[in-house]
Amino acid sequence: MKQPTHDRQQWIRQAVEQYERPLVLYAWRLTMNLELAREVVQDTFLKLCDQTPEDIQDHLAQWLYTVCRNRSLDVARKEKPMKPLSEPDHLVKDQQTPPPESQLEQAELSQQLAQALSSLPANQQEVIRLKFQHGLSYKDIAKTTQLTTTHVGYLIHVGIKSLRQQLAAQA
Amino acid sequence: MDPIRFENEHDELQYKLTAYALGELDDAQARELEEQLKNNPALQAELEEIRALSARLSGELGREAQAGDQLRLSQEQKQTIHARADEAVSPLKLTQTQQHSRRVMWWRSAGVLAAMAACVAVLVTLQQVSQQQVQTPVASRPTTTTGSDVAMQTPAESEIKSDKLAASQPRAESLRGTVRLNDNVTPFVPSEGAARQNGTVLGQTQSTPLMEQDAPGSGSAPASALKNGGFNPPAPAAAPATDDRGYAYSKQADPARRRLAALAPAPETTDKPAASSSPVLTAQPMIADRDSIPHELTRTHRSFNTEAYDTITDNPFMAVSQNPLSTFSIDVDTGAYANVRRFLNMRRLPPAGAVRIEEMINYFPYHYEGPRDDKTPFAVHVETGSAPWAHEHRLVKIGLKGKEIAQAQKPAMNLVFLIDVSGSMTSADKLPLLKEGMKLLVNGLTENDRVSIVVYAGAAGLVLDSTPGSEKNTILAAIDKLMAGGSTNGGAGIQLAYELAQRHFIKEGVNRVILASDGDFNVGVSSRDQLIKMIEEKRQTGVFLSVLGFGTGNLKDATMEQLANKGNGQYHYIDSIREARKVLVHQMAGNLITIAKDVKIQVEFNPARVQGYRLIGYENRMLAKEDFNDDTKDAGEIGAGHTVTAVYEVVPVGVKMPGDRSVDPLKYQPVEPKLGPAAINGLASEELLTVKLRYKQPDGDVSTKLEVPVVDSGKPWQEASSDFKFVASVAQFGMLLRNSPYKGTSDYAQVLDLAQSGLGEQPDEYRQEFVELINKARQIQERQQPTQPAPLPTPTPLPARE
Repeated sequence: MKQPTHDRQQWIRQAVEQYERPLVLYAWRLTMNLELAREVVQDTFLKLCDQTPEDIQDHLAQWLYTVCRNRSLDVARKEKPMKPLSEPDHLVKDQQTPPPESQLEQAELSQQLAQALSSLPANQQEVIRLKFQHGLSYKDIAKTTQLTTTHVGYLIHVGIKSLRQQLAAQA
Repeated sequence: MDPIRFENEHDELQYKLTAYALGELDDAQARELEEQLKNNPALQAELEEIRALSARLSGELGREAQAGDQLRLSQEQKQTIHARADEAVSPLKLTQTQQHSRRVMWWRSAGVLAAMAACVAVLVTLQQVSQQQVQTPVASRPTTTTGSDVAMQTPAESEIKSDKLAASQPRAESLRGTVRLNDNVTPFVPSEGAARQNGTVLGQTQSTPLMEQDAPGSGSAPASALKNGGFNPPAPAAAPATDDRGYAYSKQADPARRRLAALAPAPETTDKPAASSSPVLTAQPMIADRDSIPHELTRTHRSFNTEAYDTITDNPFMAVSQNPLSTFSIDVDTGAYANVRRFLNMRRLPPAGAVRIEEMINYFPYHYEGPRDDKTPFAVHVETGSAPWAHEHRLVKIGLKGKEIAQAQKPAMNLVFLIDVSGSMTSADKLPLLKEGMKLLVNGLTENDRVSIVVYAGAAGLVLDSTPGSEKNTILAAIDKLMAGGSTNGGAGIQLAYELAQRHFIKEGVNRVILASDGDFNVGVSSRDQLIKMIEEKRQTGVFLSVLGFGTGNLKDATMEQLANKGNGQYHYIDSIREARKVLVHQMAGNLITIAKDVKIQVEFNPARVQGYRLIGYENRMLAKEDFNDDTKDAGEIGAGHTVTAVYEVVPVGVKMPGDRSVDPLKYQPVEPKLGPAAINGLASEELLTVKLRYKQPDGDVSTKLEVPVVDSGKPWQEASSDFKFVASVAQFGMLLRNSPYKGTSDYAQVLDLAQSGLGEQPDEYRQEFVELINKARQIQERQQPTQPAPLPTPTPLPARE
């Protein structure tokens, strides 16, 4: 039987390996700053180290994303006090900071999809990304974003509908 | 289900279709929908569309999330994480579930593994749902436990978090930390990439001049002993409590007594139980009267067990009318700074008890001038200015500078290295680091010096017989051959080391055994008491003992310090090649060549000028005023070229004394203080204070006294020297970290300004590092603000667009 420490170290290592990049991407969107995003994710994993594996194992993803989100919003609030979070981010195209994904070296999103997505309001984008990019369930998304499950479903539904319309129009 | 208002029925249907496509409908709802789908091709087509779009989203978005290295954390960040991961589980949980966890360990291990496997399976499923292209290997990766590079990251530290734990088993806790662990698994984090400082020092093999005689800034030897600050033996008698950061600490009734008790040879019959002499070397886990906790558990939690911090109550402001004399022993330890640095690099604030301000101040080299004549071993410099955090107060900085020993006059050295080569010394931060340090040291030796090497604990015996320092190749070859591993116990060890030292004794030279270890002391002497006795005996014959500590988790900081104290040597903690260079090269002379011993300071304040004062730091070094003239009282040593700095915050007459602790006027003695001779003569009315020092020659028994009267220059702070400014910034930083009640208006921004103003013409690497630490502390503090989770904004009707 492995040593308990060994187990934990393994567990942490796996978590980092698996979630490092998605979390950084997630945090990047929320903070609009890659450096900050990395720090946020580091903080998230550090917090993970302070937990007992047994307590979290069964909902690791949700835990990580929740902590990451809270930290990101804190940080974003501090760094850019002027940006009110409640406003939907549909002005993202007009902002000076280009959306994070455009700075990725390899563009993974087709032009079409990227454009269509960016036209959605921020809350729908976030929820859709959490679902399709990060693979969280409605329930986990709800926990992370502090909405009801139904609400989450609704946002996704509206988002998908909008995307369908736009993509159909573009085609 | 919350009411959602759908535009129409179709909309609601689409909502359900989407949920169904994503597997989010419960069974009842799903079956209901399937019924509707059965004979509705239009609906089926829509479902397909939704599915197709989902697939596309998952595919493209999923790929994006694993795209490239930009999204990766930096090496340093990962190291910090893994270092924290190596620490133990929260001890609170451990206590509460100790019985339970035993069972978990031994009976439910299968269950735990199964749960983890299930969890892993769930995660894998999630991955598949989002169709991530990159298959993260979930199978275990081999965990490297030994680094291949010289790791620069500070070793994993840990904390005793829980007051419950401490309260419920104070004795067991402090003793559990004394388990000596023979395992070869080091808790140290492997560096996954090139260490930051890898390229810098290792290439330097040219001999570094022993003393740098030239201008300030070129590293006149700073204060030496690196002690892993704060690891003093806890005094288990008092009920342990936690400070506001949750570190367990024990109250020390009398710091001065405790320190002197630690220095005294015989165990005192004080109120401190024997555990305060820290039976660290026992090989058995000394778990008092509990169910024996499985050995694995104690092994697991060793790293937090070795750390306990004494509480330090800041020296309060003293009224001159009641306490005109302030007396303390000098100290050249610097360990607290290295320790604080370690915490900050791990993105944590250090426990208050670890922040010993005098050690932090003394870590840095200052540009004090040495003594003018050869008779006095050190020079005294006093500077005054206003206190940056309390403008109406004055700061008085007292600096000592030990005389340098010119290369030509440096005494010959007879050094015997006694090296722990047990398996645990393999890791990069231990034996390899020691070897590099030794090589650097050897380069500075001459034909008058001698070096021998003895090993213990892995192999035993002589590796290198006493060899002149000029035969560098021989010595370097022997150092190269050193290897850790093996498990032979005891054997020759320390006796052999002392024998060698004796056989090649150099009269009027430096004769030293240097013990290097990560915490194992099976040097061939059966008990620790015997070990101490031997060390003391040998000290009388002129062979002193210094101790070099490495690594973490097993480090027996308190013992190492004690051994070095008994041996009239110093204890250094070496955590990087840079520290190795500092200790073994730059400060070698200072560390090995004592120029004055039992150095004490007593300051008398002039009540005509000073109302109150506060000594910043040195809480553990305070002496009774009678101790000043008592030559039997042990105090600290100064080495060649060392600087020692102490700072008083002074409340001038006419300024309100902080805190109002009023004392009843005396009934039997005159209310007005009688005027002392200097005051009557009128001579001293200008003086602020007089600094008195006592010291002995390294081989003497009678002390000599120096007196230095001080007049307040009245200079504004801007004119203070950069050393003074820097010292003040370190003091202020320390006060902030400890959340001292005397920090006044301090904040990190102020500290930063002050430090930068004190960088001087050519800021050295140490001061620059300090500036970085300030920023780190500030960030950590800011990030510890309570998190207000913000809910996702509710959808409001969008203006205009739709």
